[in-house]
Formats: sequence, structure tokens, C-alpha cells
Amino acid sequence: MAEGRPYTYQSPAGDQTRTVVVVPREDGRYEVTIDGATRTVDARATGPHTLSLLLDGAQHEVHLTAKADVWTVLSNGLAHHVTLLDERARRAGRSKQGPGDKEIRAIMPGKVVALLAEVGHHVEQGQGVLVIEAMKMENEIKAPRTGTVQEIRVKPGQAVEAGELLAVIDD
Amino acid sequence: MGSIRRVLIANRGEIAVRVIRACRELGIESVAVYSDPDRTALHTRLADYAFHIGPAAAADSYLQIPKLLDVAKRAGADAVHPGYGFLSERAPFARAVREAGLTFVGPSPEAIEAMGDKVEARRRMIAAKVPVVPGSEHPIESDAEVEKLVREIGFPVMLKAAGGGGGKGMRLVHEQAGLASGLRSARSEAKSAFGDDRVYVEKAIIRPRHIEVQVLGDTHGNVIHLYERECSIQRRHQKVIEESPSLAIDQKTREAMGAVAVQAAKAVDYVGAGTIEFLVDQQRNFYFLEMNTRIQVEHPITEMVTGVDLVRAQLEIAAGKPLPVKQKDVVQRGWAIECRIYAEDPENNFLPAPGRIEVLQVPTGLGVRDDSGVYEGFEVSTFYDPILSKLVAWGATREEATQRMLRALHEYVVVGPTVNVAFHCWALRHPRFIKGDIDTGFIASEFKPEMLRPEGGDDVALIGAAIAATERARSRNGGAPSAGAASEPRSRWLEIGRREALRG
Repeated sequence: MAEGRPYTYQSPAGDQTRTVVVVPREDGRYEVTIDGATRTVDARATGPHTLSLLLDGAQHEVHLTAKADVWTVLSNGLAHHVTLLDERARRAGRSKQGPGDKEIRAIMPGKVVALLAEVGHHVEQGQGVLVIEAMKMENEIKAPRTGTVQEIRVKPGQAVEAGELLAVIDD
Repeated sequence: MGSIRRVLIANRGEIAVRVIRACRELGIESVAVYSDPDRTALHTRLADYAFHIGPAAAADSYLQIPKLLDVAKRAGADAVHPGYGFLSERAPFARAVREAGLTFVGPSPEAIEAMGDKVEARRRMIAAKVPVVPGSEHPIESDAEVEKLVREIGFPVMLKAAGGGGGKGMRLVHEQAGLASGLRSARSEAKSAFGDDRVYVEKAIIRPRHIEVQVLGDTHGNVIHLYERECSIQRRHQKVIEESPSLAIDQKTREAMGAVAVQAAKAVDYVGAGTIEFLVDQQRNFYFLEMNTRIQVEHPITEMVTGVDLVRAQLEIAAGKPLPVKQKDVVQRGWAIECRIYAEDPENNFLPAPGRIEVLQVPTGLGVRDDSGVYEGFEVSTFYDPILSKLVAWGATREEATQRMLRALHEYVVVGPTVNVAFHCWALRHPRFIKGDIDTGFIASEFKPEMLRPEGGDDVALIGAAIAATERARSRNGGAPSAGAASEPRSRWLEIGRREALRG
């Protein structure tokens, strides 16, 4: 069976990086090698975002969307974020996941209810920085990374739009 | 009263769809209203008529009484169904509908008023010999008076906003040390949410179960109950999973709660569908919590178990007909569970997670019902409650209903917004849920966000992503798809490649 060229990806996740090699086969199936272990996968698109995968006879359905190198894969009711870097992406320096965004932006329109940190404060990743009321609920917006609060752009009572910059955290 | 020919539905989303369906089955025409982003919402698409009522913000559209009445008039509607939420429990709306010469599908404004004011409701219930939680009969302004009452009833106590609801302005205080700060925050939250900082104080029931009883009253003075719904699985005081019947109560308690619910409804001359909510303690004592003077989100589980179409009954009652069933004919058959499918992220504090629905696959099959308000391609906006649908499973037994629900959840696919499907699976598989050992603190005490993910990640996700990335790369490189078995799938692959290229 004639085979196509291999496509190689690095997939950084947490503190480890896995290597995935995909070789498309003439018969429409794929040889997928993860960290040296190879499996033959029968993959068929059953919709514009949906793949039916047969892995050693076991059927799995996954649903995919992508933003550049980051794939969101819905599998068993859970969204998995998978970063796949090919050689070009690695050369372009789109390397591993960083320590987290520096910017905190509003993900939906709402109203700032409270500030939980001040400029100059040290915050740990996951610590609350401010509280926004949106969709009838108060939501604590957490620090995407550990660092120092460099800027807070909003005040309590202020209305914010989706995407608006709220605060900046840096080392 | 008399017959109803055309109903304006002053609501949106899944409940508007539910009402439209009942109307169509009865041969009644439906009039939808829509805000700017809801021009293409499911309820707008399914109704016989649809009228624009304003911009996205509910305050400027779905809550605008004059606009709604104007549309009702222009559309030639003779009745108004309020759904739940929005204006459904606002007495001025029911009154305005009545004064406009239209039929309000629901109770009288007087009944809404009596039950909507927690203090008045409590007074009326005590007079009707309905058991209530020990506490203050009146809202309290002075902190000193709160302290005095707390000394009488003892800790723990619950502080509640006089005009509150939905968990806002509620504070549980365990001991003297926390009283001052609890009072301060309850008052400030109540002030900002309801413009009224009075609170009332009551004995807190520890590990309570939330069990409610469905009632129906007609315009001829008949009131029946349709047994209970257990709604103890809540996050932030909002229900996410409900079931009927409840494992927590025996037949004697069940009948007693039903009879008390009928007493409560009769005390306010209740007409239409309503719900008496009770807190039930570990000794099966039950206490009146509040009455919801409207159809509830979780009404389908009662429908599945009793076979009574509650929304149809609402419309028939509004048209002056007697109740569709007699009390002795209401029986509970089997078990029903509802999981609310929300666009929210259980791994991120249940934060709403709106977005465009790219893929929607809804379960079907024996005993499965999905009351949805959305469709594939619909944009779930940030302006309204993030409920997408209510998934209901019926089974002959609780075990069968649970297994069927897990099967249905397995089939439920939403791509785009993050949804709480995996969370529901976690809850239904929890040993405490299986035993029926649940209370309103279940999620807060048992759930940790990291519990949803299997350890060691998911190789299937990685394999799927790597194959999709490979096909995207091949289509971008203009590589012609090979002939044979792969050619048909490849044409669909190209579609992924193109769509993602546009997006990336």
C-alpha cells in the first residue's frame, strides 16, 4: 500500500511535550504514531466538524474546531484543547504554551462589581482579580498567570464590553 | 374568558417554544415577540406570527409591558402567556393584560402579589395552617432586632432579602461571629439588586432538600396537586438536575405535602399552574419556602410521570375550562429526571460560555425528551439565561431513568459553546446521587472541577486533532485528494480545512 509523506507535530501539554506523526495511507486510513507507538486509524468525516474514528474496532466520535495551532476537540462530552505545532510553526517560534496570557479581557458584556486586587499586588495564577456581573450572575475573573498586577483599566460600577481589556498581569 | 384563538407569548427560548407547541396542538395561533438578536431564534421561527419588540437588553424588550400590549393588540391576540422569568411573576403585568381586555394565562394579579411578597406569603400561609420555617414574620430594618430574634430561634440562621429571589441577597450565618458581616453583605446585595435592604431572618435547615409540589387550579374553584419534584441538585441556589418522584419522602409525607400544597394554593384563590416549594429536613419535616406563580422550568418531569400536559392545561384553564383531571386520577408512573443543558463551563466556576452552535446532535430514542430553544447555527448570546435545553429521561424505575439519561447525555453533542453535559454525567454517577443521599449543598460539597477529566488525558482527542491538522495541511497545500475510498470523505475534509483557514 502506497503511503503519503509523514506529518509530524509536537503537542505541548503541561510540562511535557508529545510527538505525533501522521502518515495518510492510500486506502484513506492513517498510521498515527504517538511517542513511538503506532496505531492504524480509520477516520471518516461525518460532518464539517465531526470525525468518526475506528481504533482497533473501537468507535469514537470527536468534534473539532481550530484556531491556528490550537484545536478544541470534543470527546466524551468534554472539550480538550490540543496544541499541534508542525515544523513551520516551530520555526516561526510559536513554541510551547507560555505561562498564560498577560491580559485579562472581558469575555462577555457586563458590569464590574468589585476589584479583588490592586495595581502592584502579587497574584497567583487562578486567584480572583475582579468580579463582573453578567447574565444575572456574579463571576470572579481569575488571574491567567502568576505575576504582579501592572494595570487595572476598570472601576467598580463600570459597564464593560466583550473583549475589553480589564487588567494586565506581568512578572 | 371564553375560547382562546391567538396567544401572545411574552417570552423567548425553550419555554416560548414549549408554549408554541401546546398552542399548535390545541389549534391556537401563536404570536412570538423577539429582540434584535432573536430575529432568527427558534421561537421566532416556529410561531405563526412574530413581532419585533426592541433591542437585546431585556429591560428594553422582553420586559416592556407597553410594547408587549401594543403587539398583542396589533396581532389580534386574545390571551398572553408569560412563560417563566421575565414578567411572569409581575403582578402589574398580569393586571395590565387584564385591563387591556386580554386573558392572562396564569393566576390573578392579586394571587401573584400575595405570593410574590415573601412576608405577605408567609402571613397567608400561617393563616392557612401551612407549616413555615421559624423566623421573622416581617422584614427587619434594625440590626438590633435581628440580633434579638436570632437569640430566640438560635443558629444557624438564614438572612434573606425581603424582595429577593434566585439566591440573591441570601446569607447563611452559622454563629454569632459571622452575623454582623453576613447582615452587611445581605443588605448591600439586596439593596443593589432589589432597591430594598430589608431582610428577614429564619432558622436555617441544615442539609435541606428542595422538594416542590405542582398544583393546578381552575376558575371553578377546583385545585389539585400533581405530586412532587425533587430539585436538590443546585449550584448557586439554581437548580440543574431535577427528578420526580423524590426518594426522600414516603407515601405518607407525599400525600401530606400534596394536601398542604392544595391548601396553600386555595388560600390565594389560585388559578392556573403553580408550584409550592418546600424545604424538607432530614426528619422529613417539610416547610413552605415559597410559591412560584407560573410554569416552572422543570415542569416536564411531572408531565412524564403523571401524563398531564401542564402547558395545555394552562391554556384550557385560561379559557375557562375545568381541570383536565380529578385528584383521584393523578398517579405517578415510573420515574423522570431532567438535566438542564446550559452554555456554561463547570470547569470554570460554571461561568456562562456563549457562542455560535457549530454542531448540535440531540439524543432521541425511547423515553428521551429534549425541550430545546436552539438549533445548529444559532448564536447563543450573552444577553439571556444560558439555558439551551432541558433533557428529560423517563424510565420505569429510578435506576432505568438514570441509565437512560446517561445514555442520552452520551449522545448529546454541542460544539461551540461549552456545555455542562460532562458535569451531568459526573453527578448522575456519583454514589450519593445513586443512593438518593442529596441535599442542596451537594454540588458545593462534592464537586471539584478537576473531577471531570480522566487522568492521563485523552489520546482519542490527540489522534483526532492530529488527523484533522494533517488534512488541513494537505488541503492548504493544494494536494489533490486521492481516488477511491477516500475521495468522498476528503471533499468534506476540505470543508473543515477551508472553514478553519478562514477562522485561523
